[in-house]
Amino acid sequence: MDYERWAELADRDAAGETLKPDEREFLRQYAEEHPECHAELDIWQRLADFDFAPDELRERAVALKAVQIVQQGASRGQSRLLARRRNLFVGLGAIAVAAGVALAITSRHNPMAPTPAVAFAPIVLSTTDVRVDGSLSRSGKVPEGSTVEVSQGTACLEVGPAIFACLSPNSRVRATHLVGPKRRIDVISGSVAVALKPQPAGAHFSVVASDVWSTAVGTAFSVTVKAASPVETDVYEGKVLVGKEQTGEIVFAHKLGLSSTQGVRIDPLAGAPEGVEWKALEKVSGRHFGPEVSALPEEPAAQNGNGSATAETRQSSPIVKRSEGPTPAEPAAKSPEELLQRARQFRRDQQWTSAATAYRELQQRFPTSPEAHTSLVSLGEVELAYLGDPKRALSSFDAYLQEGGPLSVEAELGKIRVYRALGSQQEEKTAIVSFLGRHPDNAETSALRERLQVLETPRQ
Amino acid sequence: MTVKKVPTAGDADVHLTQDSTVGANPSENQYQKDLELMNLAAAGDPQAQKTVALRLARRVRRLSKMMLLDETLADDASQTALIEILQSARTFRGQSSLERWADRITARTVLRQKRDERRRDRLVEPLADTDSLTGDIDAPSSMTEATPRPIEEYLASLSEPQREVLLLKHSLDYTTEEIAELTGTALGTVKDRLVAARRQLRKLIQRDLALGIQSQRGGR
Repeated sequence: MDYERWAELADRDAAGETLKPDEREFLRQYAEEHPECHAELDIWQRLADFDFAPDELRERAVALKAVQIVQQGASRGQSRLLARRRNLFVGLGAIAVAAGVALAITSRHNPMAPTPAVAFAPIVLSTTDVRVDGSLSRSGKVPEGSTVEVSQGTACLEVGPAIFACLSPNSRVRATHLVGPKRRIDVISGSVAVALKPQPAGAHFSVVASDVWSTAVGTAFSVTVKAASPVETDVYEGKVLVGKEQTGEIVFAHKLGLSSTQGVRIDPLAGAPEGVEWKALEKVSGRHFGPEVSALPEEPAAQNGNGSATAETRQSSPIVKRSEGPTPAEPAAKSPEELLQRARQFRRDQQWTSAATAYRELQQRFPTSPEAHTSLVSLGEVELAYLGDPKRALSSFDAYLQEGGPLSVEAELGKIRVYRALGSQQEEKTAIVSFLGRHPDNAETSALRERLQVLETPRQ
Repeated sequence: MTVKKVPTAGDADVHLTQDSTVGANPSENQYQKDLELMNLAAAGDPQAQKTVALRLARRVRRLSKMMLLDETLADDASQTALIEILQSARTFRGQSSLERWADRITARTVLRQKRDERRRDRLVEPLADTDSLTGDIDAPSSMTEATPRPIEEYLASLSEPQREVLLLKHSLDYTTEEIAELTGTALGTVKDRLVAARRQLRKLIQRDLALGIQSQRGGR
């Protein structure tokens, strides 16, 4: 009864009512003498202290990004963009769903939108619990700068478009740089297998271990760190540039070669690469690294400190399985909306191939629907950013631009990115010049001008 | 414009500072230091801007995260709020703590973003940013001996309006009148939501305590 009175008085106090002196005294005294109040008081205190949801890495990243934007003056462009979005909403208020769909893309997937404060590498496949910065990952994402580790089984990250890295058991890596032309992960312990499709000109991907860099533009290899041993780089195919970060020692290695320098060992792989991480890599990259492809084993549940499987932990961090094997046949969708929903669901599940299939089915079955037209841009984005297929993306963007629509700007920007991905510098240059002429106030103009400058600078 | 160096600016690279002024009553001397810092930031001093952003990032992002319950949206909102704070630096008068002044900008930014998100969700296909649809919360991260579960779990059990009011009240120490003004909600509704939120949390805590659920802070 007294507890109920205490709770009622506490609520009234919080809601701004003035309590009588005796009521206030009761509040204080009762809480002092009754520990059942402490948990609640603890929450209020910690909310006041901001002692919740700590994520110092992201907090720092957000802060530095904001400073960067302000210092670059980019925020002016952002403000203009926001203002324009508001105007768009006012102007399109009564227009039908198709326009709404367009706005969604403009707003959520707009290359002009504020740069995400923190870049992520999605965990595209895992057979075990994955720890990110020491905590079990629930979100299925690894923020830039975070460490990711597995004890049993494997986990694969999509480090960039068509760049996959799979950890071997008992490995720990840091997602050091996830954006830009020089993506990088660091192997802190264990081993990581990597496959990447040929990268656009000027872009490459590095795996760094104990200050040894293994850098590639399109290949498959693994890097292993062992205590008191040289860093091992096993090259399955293609070429990997391996060197010591400090000494500048650089050697080339390729599938059939073998080179060795002090502190660096590069082995060609004689046969099919072995290990659960390579099998996982096959699944996520869609490539084949040897004659035998066995099923990816399901690893047992993670063990807690006492050695027993923790059901609750398993529930809270579900195994992420986003590799796209054969999808069971789904009942035919009856409407464009239904297909769009299906594609959206695939995107939420990061099943990019299935999402692309759903978009294409929408376009084939309901070619005259507004959804089909709008989905061309969505499809182009998926093809370009997630499926590593810039040529198909180009077709999708072109198809949209034939008729045009509210997403024309996005489609044009998509085409510029396509040309960059294809290494077609002349086309990219032409597309940028054309874009700048048509959209001089676009928020992307400063970045595009910088890029144009790079393209126009003669190579040394 | 004459710019003076502020001693704290050099600490920017070291750590995210704890909010030393939270819950305290900072002296006028501290306000004066904050004013000098903000004058530097307004003048475009990169180190001062960095110091301000790093000092405020903790509360700005945590508040955004708890109000939006989404990592990516929280990143966007806190980034936007920090940009607005830096751009408004010259309007800081040093009449309250920097944190208190920045809180209002943060709250308005997050509320605005929430309104925009709701409006878009009604109209459109949520496409690229799937994060915003999952409402994922990261692994349990804040527990104490006194609180059986992480605060995040308790807050997630509340409705959005309830959570919003609760955070504005208990984290930012706004009065119910201020919350009503900020959220554009009737005062009576604010009070009802606040009391309902507190009751809900209390019920959950009591249930957990009755079930013997213990804080796991030491176990992580």
